[in-house]
Amino acid sequence: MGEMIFEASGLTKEFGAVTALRDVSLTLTGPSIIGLIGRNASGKTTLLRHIVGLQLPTRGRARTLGVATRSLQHEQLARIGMVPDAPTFIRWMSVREQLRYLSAFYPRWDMERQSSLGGLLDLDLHADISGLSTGSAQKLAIVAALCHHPDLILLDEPVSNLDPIARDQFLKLLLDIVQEDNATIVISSHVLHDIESTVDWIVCMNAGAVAADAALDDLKDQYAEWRVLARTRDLPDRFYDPFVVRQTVMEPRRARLVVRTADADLLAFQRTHDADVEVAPLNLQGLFPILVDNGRH
Amino acid sequence: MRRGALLNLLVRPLTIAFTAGVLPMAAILLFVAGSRRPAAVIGVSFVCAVLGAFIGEGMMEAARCSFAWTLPRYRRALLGEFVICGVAVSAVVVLIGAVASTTPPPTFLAAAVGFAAFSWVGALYLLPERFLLFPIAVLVLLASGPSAPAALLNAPLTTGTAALAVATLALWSAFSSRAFRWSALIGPRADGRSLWNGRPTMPWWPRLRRLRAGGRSQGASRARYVGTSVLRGVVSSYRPIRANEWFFALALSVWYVVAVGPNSLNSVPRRTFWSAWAIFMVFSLMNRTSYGSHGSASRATLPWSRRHHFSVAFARNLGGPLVILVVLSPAITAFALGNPELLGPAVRGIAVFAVFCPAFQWAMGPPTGGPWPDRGMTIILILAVSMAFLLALRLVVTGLPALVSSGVAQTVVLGLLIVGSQVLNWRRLKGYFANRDLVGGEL
Amino acid sequence: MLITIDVHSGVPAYRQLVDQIRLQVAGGRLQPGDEIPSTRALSAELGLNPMTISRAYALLEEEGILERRPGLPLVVRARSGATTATARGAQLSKALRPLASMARQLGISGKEAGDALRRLIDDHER
Repeated sequence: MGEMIFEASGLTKEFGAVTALRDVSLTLTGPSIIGLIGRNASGKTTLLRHIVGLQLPTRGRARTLGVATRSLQHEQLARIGMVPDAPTFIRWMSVREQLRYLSAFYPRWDMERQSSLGGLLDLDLHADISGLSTGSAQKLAIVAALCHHPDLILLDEPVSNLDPIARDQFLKLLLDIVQEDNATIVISSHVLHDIESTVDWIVCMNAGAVAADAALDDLKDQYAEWRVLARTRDLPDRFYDPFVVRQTVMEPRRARLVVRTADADLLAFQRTHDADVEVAPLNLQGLFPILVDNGRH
Repeated sequence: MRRGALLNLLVRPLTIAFTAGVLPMAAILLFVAGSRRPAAVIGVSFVCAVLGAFIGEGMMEAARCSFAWTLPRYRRALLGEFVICGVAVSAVVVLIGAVASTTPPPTFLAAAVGFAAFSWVGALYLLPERFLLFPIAVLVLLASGPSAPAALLNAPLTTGTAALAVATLALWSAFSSRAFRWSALIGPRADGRSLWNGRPTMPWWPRLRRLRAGGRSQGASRARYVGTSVLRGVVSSYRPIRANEWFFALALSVWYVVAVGPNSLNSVPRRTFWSAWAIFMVFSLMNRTSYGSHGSASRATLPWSRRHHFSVAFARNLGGPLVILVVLSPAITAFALGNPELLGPAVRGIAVFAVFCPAFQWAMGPPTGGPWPDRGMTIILILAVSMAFLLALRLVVTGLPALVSSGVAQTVVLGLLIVGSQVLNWRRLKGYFANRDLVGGEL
Repeated sequence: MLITIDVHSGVPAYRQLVDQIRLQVAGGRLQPGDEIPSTRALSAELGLNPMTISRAYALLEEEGILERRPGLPLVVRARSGATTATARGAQLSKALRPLASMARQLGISGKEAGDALRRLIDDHER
């Protein structure tokens, strides 16, 4: 338990005038399923590419599986499987030929897993790659990344192009693989609904910086939604309590607040405003804007 | 807005730089070639072809976008402006020819041939069948090479009209709705390189692979390319090149060696022609052997350390041309035995090529794969390197014996140059793989 | 073991699992000595991250509801009658709290609410 999968300290990446990653310091340990979330262009893809060594930091350090990313050797790379956001293949090959070609580079390619994954995801082995739809290309990328029993699996928006049934199958597949191979999975996705059921750790990026880096359950415990119903008098226009993170005053006597549970004093609040408060937890969809906002400050 | 469909694409600094570069070169070329009339016509068509390639490239990028099919009257607008560009280009080049060369070719003939070359090459960028048509065009050009120029001049009107007919045919098929539909469907080139990288399926090409759907047995993987062996890495990097491309290159070489080679040596124009053909072979083979071609995008995801990527790249860039040299050695030996007085120049020529090899390979694209991001810059770079190569060729082949008389000394000088260029290449490649991103820079 | 987890409710999945197992043990649906499905089996059945499941199991073990035997699956631990009664009481108060809040909002008195609850329980039993 607790193997050091990836650590970054002060990792910064600039592409000319654009800063893709801003002073990122984080440590990922496994085995675990880590959800990498964030708005578009927040640096998720760049971070994943840094983990596997495809891109090198402008400043700062990054180490994967104990080795600096610029010196990753075959031993480490053969333990990593990656599904990139726009997978490219050799266009004239058929799916089967492409898999055969890739299998020649890995010492422990599992043909049985290849056929079972291919069957599960409904991948046509005889299709030409040039004629594949984006969804099928993504499925091929998934199969290609998982057949060699990697210890670290990096998935960049792997389900964005899959139909709902394939998506479900894929997520169940991930859980199986975590158990079978004791693997660490880093999955970046916009579909919070899907990853919420599978991940146990969340890394949230915003504008190139890390906005949140905690267990999903802990994050859910950190915030709560309060539905406030005033009894006798109107509520103020704005709540200035420090634990109130977001607020919507809907009617003079109704408000919806998002609070930080650690410093929130429910009883005092109820007494001060003479109101009834219904406390509800927030799911990942509700937490997301708050995490992103936190990252901005 | 109908006007400006193509012109809007061309109005950018790159076009100005390109034209500013090409036109003086055209002047020089036509001046040098102008002393022999057939060569002047060929020179005109070559320059027009280069400009046609440049404009065709820009057009192709637009035609491949998803909006190209649905934009109203887009096709017609592109065609119209392409023709206008063609007329302008051939007029300008013929004018340069008239001014620069001592015996200018007949105007109508030169303009027609120039326009035909422009249209044909530009059209190739839009046609799905280009990977068949381009080699055929080259073969036709070569087959007619030694004898055609005289025929061209004897009947300027006929030849000119024929050229215009060819141009019309090219334009008609390139700007047809069929070609545009295909372009819009195929989308932008992922790993794109040259005209050689045709799509395996064309609308009417039968799916031969389906016929042998039984195929090879599944079998357990043999993990052939595992490990740090550079040789295996190099072998694996050739795998993405299709078998029929190798076959075609081989066939072309054999055809040349057998049919054209010996015959071209008898007269000076043919020898010049022979050099031009050799240069063309160089380009094609450089394209094949440079590390950045074919399957390079998917190569980034292989479990290779950066050092291994570098070793394979260097080995391949060095080994590829060596292998070509070895393969061509029978032809060279036969040539040397038959023409002992040309041995020296031939060896010097090959040495210059060896010195410039890395430069050609770098010009094709970054070693990490794919073409250089700015495709216009790629064309300029290739042209610049080619011009430098031709100049060096001229200097070394004819000039070196004048400076350094002993054969041994010449060998030493050339050997040092070759080693020097490889050392530079080694260092540059090493730095590149150690410090650069292996994939693109977008988020 | 009949468990339903709503991953999107906002309540951490591990806590939902803990609560439901606690409820089943308190209500007698899980008897002392009953075997609990392995992490792997439950993860496959519910589609949950196995870490979530093991975290829930660890918590339940700490609380003394589940017992780990070397080499064998987890079982429900035998508990004294007093402990069971306290557990049941705790479950009920938790369910009643939102009810109480609603009653207050609607302006219903404790006696009225109590009567309504009694009617519902008695009706259901009949």
